[in-house]
Amino acid sequence: MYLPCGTFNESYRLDSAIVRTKAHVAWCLAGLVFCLLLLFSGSTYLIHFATLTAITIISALGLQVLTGYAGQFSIAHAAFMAVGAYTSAILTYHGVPLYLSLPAAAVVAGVVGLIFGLPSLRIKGFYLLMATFAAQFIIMYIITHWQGLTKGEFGHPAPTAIQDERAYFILVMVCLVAFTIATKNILRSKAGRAFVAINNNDLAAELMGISLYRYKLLAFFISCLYAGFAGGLYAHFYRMVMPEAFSLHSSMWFLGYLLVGGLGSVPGTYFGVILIMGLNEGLTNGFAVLINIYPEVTRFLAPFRQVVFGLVVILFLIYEPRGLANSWEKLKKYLHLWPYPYWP
Amino acid sequence: MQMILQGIFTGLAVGAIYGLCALGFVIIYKSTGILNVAQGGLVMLGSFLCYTFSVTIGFPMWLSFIASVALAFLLGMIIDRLLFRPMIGQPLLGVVMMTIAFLSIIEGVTIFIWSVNYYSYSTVFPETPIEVGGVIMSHEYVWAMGVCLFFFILVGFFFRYTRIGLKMRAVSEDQLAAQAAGVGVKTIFSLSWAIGTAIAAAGGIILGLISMVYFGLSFIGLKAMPVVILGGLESILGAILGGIIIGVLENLAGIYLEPYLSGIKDVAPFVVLMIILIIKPHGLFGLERIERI
Repeated sequence: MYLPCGTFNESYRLDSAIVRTKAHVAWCLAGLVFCLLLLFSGSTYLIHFATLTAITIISALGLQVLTGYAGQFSIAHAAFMAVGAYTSAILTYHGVPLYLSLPAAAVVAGVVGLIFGLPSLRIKGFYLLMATFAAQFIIMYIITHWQGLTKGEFGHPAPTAIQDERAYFILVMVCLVAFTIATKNILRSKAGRAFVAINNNDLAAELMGISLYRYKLLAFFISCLYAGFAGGLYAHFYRMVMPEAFSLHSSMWFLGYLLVGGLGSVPGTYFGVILIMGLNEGLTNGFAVLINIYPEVTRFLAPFRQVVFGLVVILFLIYEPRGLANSWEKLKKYLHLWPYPYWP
Repeated sequence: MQMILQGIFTGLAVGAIYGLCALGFVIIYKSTGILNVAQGGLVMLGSFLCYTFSVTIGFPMWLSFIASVALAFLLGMIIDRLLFRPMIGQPLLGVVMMTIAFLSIIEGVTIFIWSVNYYSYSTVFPETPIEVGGVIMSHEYVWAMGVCLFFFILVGFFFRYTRIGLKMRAVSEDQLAAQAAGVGVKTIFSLSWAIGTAIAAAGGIILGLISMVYFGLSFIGLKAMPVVILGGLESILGAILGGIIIGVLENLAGIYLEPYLSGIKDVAPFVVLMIILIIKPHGLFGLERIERI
């Protein structure tokens, strides 16, 4: 791991600390202050947007474990989120409290992920992409057509005990912190190292004694666990789940978040989600201004978003294929050496 | 019995179109090694282009068919140069994301220009269908099968008997060896993209003829994916046969399972896809490559 100049790990406790340097502490404090400012600003709009972003980050972290670290594609992440969302919605609808329904949502999504992760044992690359592609359609088909359970395409209500938006924001933020720490810890455990080995070369990993069977499925399970939990949070955030929210396009967007942020990087996940969702929100606001001048303009918002998303991803692929995380590292190095191009 | 025959006939026609879409897919995959997720988008774009030529501008149908296929051919070259040339040697996820981003742009631009309305070509075929042995065949379906057959034969001949076809087969076998033997790999890539896009557009136009020209054609074009997996990613014959199998299967599922499971018709190909991937991942005619460390 890269450590700044003058930082030495002199004990195991220091070596295993997640918040290690002064810069880390500063970032954590900045995050805390930012959340408090949001809470006290009382702006419902900002809190709404921040909550949604945080939920997306939780889900994207799960995909990061699967795709960024274990190297297995999944273009069905939104569908796994849908499984969690519907599980939690249906459970709370029948009177189960939130603190039980959210973990249940995570586990159910994880088990579904295990089922659709099974083909990954025999296939990889494009073929795996196809398998998850099929998973997306099959899961969404079941959800839309199992009328008795999910109430079909008109959506299922997801009642919440937490009515206050600020309280919900705090809940989501606490979950975000917990999931970030969990991800960091998973990645440096035995499983995390196995994931990276599988990513580099799965045949070589198997020869070294890593059970592909166990760790590929584990990667799918963990990823879908995150997706399911995030889905549950999403459902109760809107108090309603609709199948359209979890289309193939949202699955594609999840891959886009990872790519723009940088594969195999936890801060990168944050960067990617915040950048693309920020752009998206900016576009929406821009169109809201334009609407006064030219009312027809709303028709163009959705296609414009898609074009902008595509362009951003293409530009990143060509000019910065390792994502914003890499830009951030380069920027840090540049500032460290400034005003010299290298250490004199 | 009547119903089965009718279902099989419709399935054959639709399957031939799926086969055509899958053919474009396979040509691109074979020589460049890129799995083009945007194929569905290209199919949709082709049908809209033809709509613009034939209805908005007012060309006759055959001319607008040729014009839009030619335009798609050019577009294929452009996207190869702009988007996929920089991706040579990049990791798999990057290449796949490139096609996904491209799909996003195509869909966005299509809605931008043509909105989400339904259009249809001015009918050029007689209204009264042909009836053979109680099976009703509308002219569109017969024509669709004919055009698909024409393209299959054309592509088959092209790969089998022309010099460029030989070069394309060489590149798909081994890029490095082909380059050493004096084949311009970049030209071949560009040509494969052009042919793949042109065939996708042709498939889209025929699809537009038998149904409507609308945004959902993008999804129908995506059904080329189960087809190529069933037939094998590297096989042209596999794409054609796979298309027909999936088409017939989907239609029969639509007839016999629809009363119990509504909407199963659209998902049936993907269920098949999942089963094939678990049982025989390389499809009917795909190559099972041995991996070395």
